[in-house]
This record gives sequence, C-alpha cells and structure tokens, in this order.
Amino acid sequence: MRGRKFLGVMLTVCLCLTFILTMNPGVAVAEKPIKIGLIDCYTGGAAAFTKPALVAWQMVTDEFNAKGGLNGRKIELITRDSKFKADEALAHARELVLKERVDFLAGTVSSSAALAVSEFARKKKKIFMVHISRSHRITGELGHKYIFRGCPSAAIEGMAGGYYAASKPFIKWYIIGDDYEYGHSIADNFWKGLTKHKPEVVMVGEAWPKVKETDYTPYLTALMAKKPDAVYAAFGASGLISFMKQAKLFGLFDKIPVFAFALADSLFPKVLKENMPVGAYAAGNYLWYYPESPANKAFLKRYLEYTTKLGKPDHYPSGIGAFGGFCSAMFLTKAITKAGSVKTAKVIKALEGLTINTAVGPIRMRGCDHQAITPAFWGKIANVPGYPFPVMKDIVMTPAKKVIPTCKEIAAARKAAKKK
Amino acid sequence: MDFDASMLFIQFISGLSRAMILFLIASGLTLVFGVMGVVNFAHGSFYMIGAYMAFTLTQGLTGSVGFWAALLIAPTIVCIIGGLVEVILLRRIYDKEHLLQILLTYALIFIFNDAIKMIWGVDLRIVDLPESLAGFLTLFGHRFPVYYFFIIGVGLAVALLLWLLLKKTRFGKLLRASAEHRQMVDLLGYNVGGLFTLVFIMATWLGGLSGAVIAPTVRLSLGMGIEIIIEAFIVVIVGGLGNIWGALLGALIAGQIYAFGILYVPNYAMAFLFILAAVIIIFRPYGLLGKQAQARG
Amino acid sequence: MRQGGQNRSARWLYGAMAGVALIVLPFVLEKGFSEYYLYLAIKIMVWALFAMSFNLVLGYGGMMSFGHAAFLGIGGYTCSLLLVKTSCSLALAFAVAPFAAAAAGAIIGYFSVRIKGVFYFATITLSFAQLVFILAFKWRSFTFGDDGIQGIPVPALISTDETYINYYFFALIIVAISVYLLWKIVKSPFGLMLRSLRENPERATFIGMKVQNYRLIAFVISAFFSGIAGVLYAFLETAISPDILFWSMSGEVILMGLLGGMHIFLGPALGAAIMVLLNSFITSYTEYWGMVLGIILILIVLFFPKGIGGVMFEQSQKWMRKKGV
Repeated sequence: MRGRKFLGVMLTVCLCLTFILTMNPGVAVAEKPIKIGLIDCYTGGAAAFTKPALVAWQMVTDEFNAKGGLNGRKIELITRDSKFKADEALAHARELVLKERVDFLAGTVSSSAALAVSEFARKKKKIFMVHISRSHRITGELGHKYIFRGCPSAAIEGMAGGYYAASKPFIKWYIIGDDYEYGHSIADNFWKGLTKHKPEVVMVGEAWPKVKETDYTPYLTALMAKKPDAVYAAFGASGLISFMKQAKLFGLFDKIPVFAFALADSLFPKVLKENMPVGAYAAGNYLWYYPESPANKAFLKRYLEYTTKLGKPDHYPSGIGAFGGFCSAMFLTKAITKAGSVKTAKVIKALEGLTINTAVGPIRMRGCDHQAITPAFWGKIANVPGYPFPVMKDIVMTPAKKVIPTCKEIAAARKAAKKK
Repeated sequence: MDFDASMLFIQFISGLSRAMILFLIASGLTLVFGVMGVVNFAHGSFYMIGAYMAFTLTQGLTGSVGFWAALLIAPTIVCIIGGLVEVILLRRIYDKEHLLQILLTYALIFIFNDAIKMIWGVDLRIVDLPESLAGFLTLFGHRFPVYYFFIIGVGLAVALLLWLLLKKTRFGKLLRASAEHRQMVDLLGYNVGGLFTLVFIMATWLGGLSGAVIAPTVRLSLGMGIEIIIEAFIVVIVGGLGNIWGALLGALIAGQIYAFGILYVPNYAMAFLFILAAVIIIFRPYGLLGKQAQARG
Repeated sequence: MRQGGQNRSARWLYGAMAGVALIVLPFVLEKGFSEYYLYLAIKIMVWALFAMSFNLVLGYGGMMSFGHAAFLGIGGYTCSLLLVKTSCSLALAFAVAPFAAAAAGAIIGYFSVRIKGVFYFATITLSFAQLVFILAFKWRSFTFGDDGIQGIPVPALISTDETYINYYFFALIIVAISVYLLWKIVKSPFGLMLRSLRENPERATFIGMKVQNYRLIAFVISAFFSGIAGVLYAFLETAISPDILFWSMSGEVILMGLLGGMHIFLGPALGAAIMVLLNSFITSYTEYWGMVLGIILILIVLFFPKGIGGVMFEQSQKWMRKKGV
C-alpha cells in the first residue's frame, strides 16, 4: 500500500521536474523576430516536395531579412514535422502558437492536417498560409477569414485538366487513383470539368487502390481489359511513381493515352528519368522550361544560386514543392511589408487582392475566398532534344479564371457547410 | 459483370506474382519465428535496406551488370547487418517475454528508418531494370510484364531451396529440431546460439533479396519497410507462424483475393487483407498450417 | 498499533500533498509558463487513462491486444458525430460514447478472447481495429473520411478557446473517477481471478473458471474506459481524424504500458507521461526523433524490462525495507 502512494508522489515530483526542465523561457532579443511556424511532413514520400518548399520559404525570408525586414524585425522560420498525421500537425500548431508564440502559421502537405490546423488558426485568430495541400475544401466550403492558400486548389487544377481533356477526342474514360481524399478530389474535379465541356464522355470503369500499394498489376490488367479510350491517373507522388513504373512494364503508354495529374512537376522526371512515360499527357502548376520568359529565367537563376549556397544545387525547381512554397512565402512577406505590421487583421487586409509577380506571370490572391488564382499547365510528354529528360510539348496554359469556382459558388458552399 | 476466361487467367497470373512478392518477404519472417520463436518486426527494414542497396549499386554500375550485381551483393550486405544485429541485440531477448521481443524489434524499425534517412536522404528513388527483363509477354490478348515472371521464378526458387534445406539437409534437421526442442539440441552438444545467428543471417539475406528483387517495380521511400511489414506479418499468421509452406499458402491466398477482389469490389481493396486475417483466425486459431503454441526452452 | 496509525496519517499526508499539487498545477503552468504546458498535462491525463484501461487487458489480463485504438477512436468519433450531426446535448453524447466503445469491445472481444496464441490474438485484434479504421476512412458521407472532423462544439464552460484551466478540472474529475473505478475493479475478486488466469490459464480452467468469460468482461470494461479517454481526447483537440484508429496508435499505447511498467497499476500512467513529453520534446530538437526513440526503447528492454515504473517500484520497496517497515 505504502509503495503505491510513494510511487504516486514520485510520479508527481518527476512530472514537475520534467516540466521545469523542458521549459524554455526564451532569451530576450533586441529586436523581437517575426516568427512563422511551418508545419509539414518531412518523413516519408511527401518530403520530396516539402523539403524544396522549405528551401523556397528560406530563400524568400532570407531576402526579406536582407532588405532590412520589417523596420528591423527579421523573420524567423520555425519548422515542425507532422509525419503526415493530422493530430500531430494540430499538436505542433498548438505548440507553435501557445509556446513559441508564432505570428503566423504555414504548411502543410496533407489536406487533413491543413483542415485541422485551419480550424485551430481560426480559433486563435492566426493567419495560416497553406502552401502545398490541394483539397478544394480548404478554401472552399471549409474556408474562413484566417486561412490563405498560395498554391493551387484541386478545384482549379482538376477542372483545368477536364477542360484540357475535353479538347481531345477521347470518349470512354477509365479513372484510377489513390484511395484518399486527395485522389478523389483531383478525380472528381477533373470529371466535373470534363463532363462540363464534353458531355458525351462516359466512364467505363474506375479503380481505387489503397494508398502505398506496392503492386498495381491486378489493376493494370483489369484497366487494359476494359479498353478505354483514355485513362486519368489521380495519384499522390509515391503512388504515381510506382504506378508509372509498372504501367511502363505493361506497355500501357503505347496502347492507351494516359492523363496523369501533376506528372509534369520536375520531381517526376528527376526520379523517373528514362522511365518518364513518353506520349502521356501531364500537368503541372509550374514548369522550369515554360514559359521561356525573363521572369522565369530570373527565378531559375535565383533558386539555383540559393540552393547552390546550401550545397545542393537544384536546376529544376519543383512546381508543387519549390514554386508553391515560393508563392506562399512571397504573398505573406509582401503582405507584411504592405501592411507595415504583423497584426493579423492588417495582414489579412493586405493579403486580400494582393498580386505577386512570379515566373509564370502575376498571381492574385482572391479576396472572397483567399485562394491564389494560379494557372495550370497541361501538355504531352515527349523527348525534346536539348533537354536533360523528357519534357512537355504543345503546352496549354489554362488561366484559373476559366475554371475557378466563382465567389458566389464558394460563398454558397460555405454557408451550406455551416448549416450542417 | 462478366469477364471472359482470358481475363480471369491473366488476373490469376497477377495474383500469383503478387503472392510471390509477399512470400519473398514473409519467408524470412516466418523462418525466424519458426526456429527462434521471435517475431522480427524489423524484417521490413531489412527489405528496405536491400532495396536502397540495390539502388546504390545500380547507380554505380549501370545496365544489366548493375542489376545482377545488386541481386548478389545487396542481400549479402544486408545479412551481415543482420548478423551484427543478432549478435549484439537479439540474442539477449530470446528468453524474455514476447512483449519485450516485440518492443526491441519495433525499436529497430525506428532506428533503421532514421539511419536510412541519414544516409540516403528523403528523396524518392527508383531502381532500373535490365533491358532483357523490361518487356512484356502477350498471353491470350493480355499483356503481362516479363519482370513479374522473373519475380515468380525467384519466389518459387526460394520456396524450393528452403524446402530442400529444411527437409533434406542435416542443417535443416537441426533447425527443425531446435524449433521443437531447443534444450535437447543444446544438450546434445550443438551450438544452438551459433545456429540461431546463422538462421537470422539467412532470414535477413532473404529480406535483402526480396528488397533487391522487388525494388525495380516500386518507388523507394522511407516508409517502405513499415508499409510492407503488416502485410507480410498477416500473410505469415494466416499461413501459420513458423511454417514456410504456410507462408506460401497464405501469400497465394492473399494474392488471389486481391487479384479477383478488385474485379468485383474495386472500392474495398484496403479491407481485403484484414477480412482475410479475421476470418482465417476465427476458424483456424493457429493459422492454416500452424501448430499449437510450442513450449519454449 | 502505533505503526498502523503512522501508516494512516502518512497516507493522508501524501494524499493531501498530491491533492494540493493537482489543484495548483494548472494555474502554475498556464500563468507561470504557457497554456501549452497545461495542454500537455491534460494530454498526459487523457493518455494515462487510455493506457491504464488498456492495461486491464495487457498487464492484468495478459492479452496483447494490438487493436485498442479502435475503442479510443469509437468513443471519440461517436461523441463527435453526435455533437456535430445532431442536436444532441453534451451530456448525452458523452454518456453514449463509452457504451458504443464497450459494445465494440463486446463484439471484437467475443471473437478474440478465445484465441490463445499471442501473435494470433494480436493479429485478430489488429485486423478488427483496421477494419474500423477503414470504415471511418472510407465512409466519407458519415464520418467525413480522411478529412476528419474539425470544430467539435464544446460548451463554453469547459472550452479551451481562452484557457485550458477549466478543461483541466473537467478532465481531472472524469479521469480521477475512472481511475478510481479501475482500481476498485483491479482489487476486486474479479481482478484477482483475472490475474490468476493470466498466470496459469490451465489451472484456472481446472478449478472451473470460465476463462473466456473473464477475459471478455475485462475486454469490455477496458473498451468502456478507453472510450471515455477517446471523448476527452476529442474535446481537448476539438478535432478528430481516422489517424486515431490506425494500428500505430495501438502500438503507442502498448509502448506506454511497457515503458511505465505493466504490472503496476499506475505504471502505464507514467509511460503515458514519458511518451507525451518525449514526443513533444524530441521533435522540436531533431529531425531524427525515430532514432532517439528507438535507442531509448532498446535501453528500456535491455536494462529496465519492468518499465521505469517497475524499477521505481522495486527501489521504493527496497527503501521501505531498509527503513524497517
């Protein structure tokens, strides 16, 4: 009996000691830094995007600081690894806001993590800048005053894909993708866009392998047996690579045209190299080789210089990773400068309607839903001489204006979601 | 939903190749349990190391040479690591409770994962196939890649070799005896400790081989080992822990369930394996070919 | 007689000290340092409840369930879905959730407790739990799928929007009552029987015990209190996602039991505290948290197999003996 009580006391004492040890009162700094808490998944497959995104944030904030910051106040980036789990992301958001007292939150790659952090940001009245997550719900029906997205939404990219595919003669479609919200979201939006502009299309089959599937062979045989005119692939990065590899072994790309979401992102040719499916149609939100504008060339140079300084020169910035992070960081830092303050209300006002100049032209942050109006690029993969790996040809850039849901539609969706 | 005979046949083939992938990984897992009574949760990590080794080797030596060299060298490096793990850590827990054994191998998963992160970084990678194996065959109007037939071949070869080893060699007899009555074998003067080390080396060799063989079909990423271990574990349990034929049978069933399941209920692929496990264990509490819990020591 | 008196007054003293500490703690943490530390303290309480209820099955029942996350999650989801989708009152939602978890415990337990092999038992519990996960993940129209539920409405009195102090006391009362009930169960004849059949199931059968019934009851009770922990978790985070049902969560609670010591009642609570603090501590300092965690676990296995709580318990026993008690 006594031992148990003793244990109880020991327990309390130990806990107290641990708290005292873990406390970080922090050192008083001359000029208080502007803290941005960046939550992302740096473990597993997603890290291939999140690491370059982080580099882009560092690049933008370093330049902001070099130019004097905000009246001498410099930006400090604090990163946390969410391990692709929504509850971890939320716990980190809590720590960053309550303990580290960050001024802004940013992140994440996982849509469910983004939604969880978004709700928390709303309660704590902190701006949350989303830089990779694609779920349309983030700035759609679940959006609010405090959340901003500097990267595309699945609504924009999926619809743009449908719009592009409608210009092709394919009628019988087969859809295959990763069985999670992202996969379904980019597939649903694609199908919406396609049927809107070409109502005669027909879905002859669909398949939803589990996320992190290692063996797609039974799916590939079933798909090919259905003999569709075209296939739409709605995978996340890991799944897309495995699927492309295995599909190549089946000779899928010689037989059936494949439309692969996000495949044009520089990450994929860097990994797949000769396994890049020549003849497939692909999309991206940023291409290092198109448009061949001075703005794009300047961006490439700047990114290459910065990554060389870090010891890992990157000639081909990833659209999903580096460019998404870049735009989001630019929006935030530019808004801070414009507002002349880090007060949430002032920065929100500065962000709404803000336009940044990027390698693909000016991108505006729409005021009604806090979604960046980003263009989408679709084209056909080909071996073009002079390029280190297969790139896209016959590129079509779809401006977001053509496909983005209207402010009215967003407002209606948000109202409906609140009622539920 | 009607499918013609040729379609069913090709799905059967893909189920078979999937089964062999599962069996290659499950074989090492069940071998260790069968002889030593330990479930090595870190087996997936050895598979992962094998895959990453294959990547590095095929980067260094390009073309077919790289691929075949990787098949030879990667498992060797992996089994050396396995031997070290056994000698330094694993042998201290043979007599401890199952829970502590699980905890140790679970801890190893975390350590190996981060070690690979430190060495290879976080980027996604792929391993190339030699040209000779990169094409496809057309059977009854359906295409199927040559490489998967290669995997089927390797899987069957491993099954055959393990059978020969366990049934036909003296070493195999010793292994089977140690699995049944370790103390007896010990009393008869055999170095059971050394035997166990050897078995673990063999199992991790199999793990490394499976990684090198499967690597060219998938993307390499840090979560690979953890993704695969649950599937392999269930296959082993369904077949009966410790039984190589059980592992093969479990793998065959799992493979075919996927192959045909997705034709009829394509939306529930996630659930197939767990439904299989629950059903089998309810009706055969020791797996299909498993024996009652053996008295240890 | 004198020693008995001393014993009792010593217990009162310790009890009072602990009581005062528990009441003062939230104010010290939130006002003195940051609300974040109070949040961690509440988190520790919630996981401690989960770990201790799980330990009824693991430590006392001798069953290594690898699917207990299912009960935590069913408790959390039931309550959250009732609050978000219906105009249910908090009290009702809170009350229903543990019973839903217990019902799941009854169903899963019914099929599982008859399985004797350790790994087979682990696998069947894992499989059932994964099926629950898959249900929550895929049934998007009902559970919101892998997006999860955000903005779970918590009444203003215990809401964590402004301060965590109110919620701390709410959780403290619930956890204290639950722990007290668990303690009573463990010390009861039922608890003793459970332990005896953990030690020697054959002997227990010989003396006429229906082994499976005892195990099933332990399973259901454990599921019930895990469900309560799930509700507390949902209120604390005001968000829930299918991750809570994934097998890695079941693995974490096993780790908590092992770290803290599964043969001591409060052991898993200590394990929970260690895991929560390690998790929040390590990730701020290094990206190689896995390596650090793995090494700590290996050290525990090799040098502290009874868990840290176990070691402390043994030390305190030795200390007591030295003092001539």
